[in-house]
Amino acid sequence: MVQTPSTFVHRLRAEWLSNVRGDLLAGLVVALALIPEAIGFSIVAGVDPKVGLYASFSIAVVAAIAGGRPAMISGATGAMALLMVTLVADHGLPYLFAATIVTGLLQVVFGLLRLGRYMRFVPKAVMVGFVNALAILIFLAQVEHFSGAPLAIYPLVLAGLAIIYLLPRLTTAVPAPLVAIVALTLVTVFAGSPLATVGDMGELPSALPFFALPQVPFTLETLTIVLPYAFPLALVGLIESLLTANIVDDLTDTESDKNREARGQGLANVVTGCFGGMAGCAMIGQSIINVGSGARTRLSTLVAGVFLLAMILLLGDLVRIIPMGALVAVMIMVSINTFDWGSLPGMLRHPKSETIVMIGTVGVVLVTHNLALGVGVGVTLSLLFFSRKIAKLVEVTSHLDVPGGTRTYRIAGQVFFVSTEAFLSGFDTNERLEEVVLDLTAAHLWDATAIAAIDKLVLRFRARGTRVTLRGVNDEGAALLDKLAVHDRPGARAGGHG
Amino acid sequence: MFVKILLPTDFSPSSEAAMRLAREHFPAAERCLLHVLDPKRIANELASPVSSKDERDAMEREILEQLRAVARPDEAAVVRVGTAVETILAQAEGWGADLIVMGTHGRTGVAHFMNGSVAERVVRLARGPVLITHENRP
Repeated sequence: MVQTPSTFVHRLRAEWLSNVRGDLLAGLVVALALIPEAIGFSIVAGVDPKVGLYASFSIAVVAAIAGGRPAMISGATGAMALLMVTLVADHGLPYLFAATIVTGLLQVVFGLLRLGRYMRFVPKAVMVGFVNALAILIFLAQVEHFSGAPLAIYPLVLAGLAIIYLLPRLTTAVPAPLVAIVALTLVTVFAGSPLATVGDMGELPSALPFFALPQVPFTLETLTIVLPYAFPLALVGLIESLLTANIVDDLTDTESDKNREARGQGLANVVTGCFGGMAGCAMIGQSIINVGSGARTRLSTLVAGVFLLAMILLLGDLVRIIPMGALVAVMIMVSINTFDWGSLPGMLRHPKSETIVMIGTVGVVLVTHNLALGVGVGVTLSLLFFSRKIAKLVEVTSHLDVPGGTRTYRIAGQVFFVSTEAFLSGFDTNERLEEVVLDLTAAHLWDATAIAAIDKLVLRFRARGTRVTLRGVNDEGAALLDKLAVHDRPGARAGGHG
Repeated sequence: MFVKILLPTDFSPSSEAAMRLAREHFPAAERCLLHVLDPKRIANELASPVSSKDERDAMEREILEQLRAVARPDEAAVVRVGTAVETILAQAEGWGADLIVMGTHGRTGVAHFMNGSVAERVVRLARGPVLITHENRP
């Protein structure tokens, strides 16, 4: 597509500068909310907070420019952090950076192959399972902060949650999570509490991130270590990003370019891996906060990333003394926001199969800590349920003109590997008849199993001396019969395959 | 004579005053009531991220009901999602309104700085004439 300079400038203005005040304000709010999350997810992944903070900065900035969904927030996320835990523990940080780059490259390839459209193959029940599993995992990751900690952490977290949930009833002028963090930090500092702080969790950024290729040997062996992590990371990153893009589309009643988003996420991860950050993706909760704070354009995402890093660098010494209990409270809020609460009453209304898919997805993720695996199992379960449902739609009716004469079987519905049993049970091949007509006008033959079933019927009827006529086969079915059917080939025998 | 009048409303007393004004002075004109649903509101009331489309649709339906309740039988009612000023201008252009009649809250100071005035910006950016009224107009 060739764009004239004027439409290009017009689009650029619309995507960056059409809502400056709202975007600046929302970007600031999100930057503040990103700090505890980026630190929290670094801890989940088992790396220094600076790895998550650098990642959130660079992913936000690159996705703002290269992504396909304006006003969406991307950064270090829980879904991705959980997938890298064993890589970091077994092989160390350089391999995480290498995996992040490979993740990005895979996502760019997915984007170029236009795989975004396959998102609709992920059913809603699986998506609900995805966000619910994610929410539960974020919550569970907070529980370990309580073990071995002084009892004072309980009232601290409770006070944090109270501020987060009660303050918005009084005022929405300042973000409640920020107030909670500041208030709890003041309390713990003045009380001289022994509770763990952010500074105890590892190194914070003290300078701008710099470009450096990961210190790993560029060998096939490195790739075999990194790829089993990069593949699920790429997949989960895209699923969460495209789901989030859909949510922002829905909230703002606008469209977005999903393939550009996939490429943008990929590029963001490649850059992030080169600047000492961990792989990330779009963030459901933060993007909702962003739109809810008035953001509409790419400017909000860019501002969020830049503010985030600026605040960390300027206020690093203050960030260091934030008690972990305050972050735990914020992360519990994030998990509550991520959970799909509407899905709980929905379980009573929806078909049982959808509830099983949703719970199955959640269950697999909770056991394996792998969202990619959960989605795989969820999609597979959905396909099974769907094919079973479709299989029930095959119907065989028949009528006889005179006893021993011609029986016409009318077949309606989808004949394929799941439905052939139900299909075959509609026939009586032992009946003594002169002729059998199989009327397939209202049926569709889908696969080799369907053709084999037709073969079986024809040959069984013929074995009884009955003449068989096929009628009303559509073009696709005829093509399949031509290619695969054996009942008219020499030597075909009833029961020969089946 | 104005024949097509757009009436943006946020259900506040000032927009009701604007509606009265339009009905009184342009009884023969074709009138269209418009409510702009801000994505901010949808995002802040979202309970189920995966069903965000359903929730937006439900909210739009609910507001359309409210709008129909205040509209007269001969008036059209439209709900659109977007930012207030841009959406009002787009609807005026698209529908071919030759006059926009709307209320202003008359906020001043900090509240004015934070919320701006939608009416003020519509006046500045609209291609056609705009009529503004205050809520305490008799």
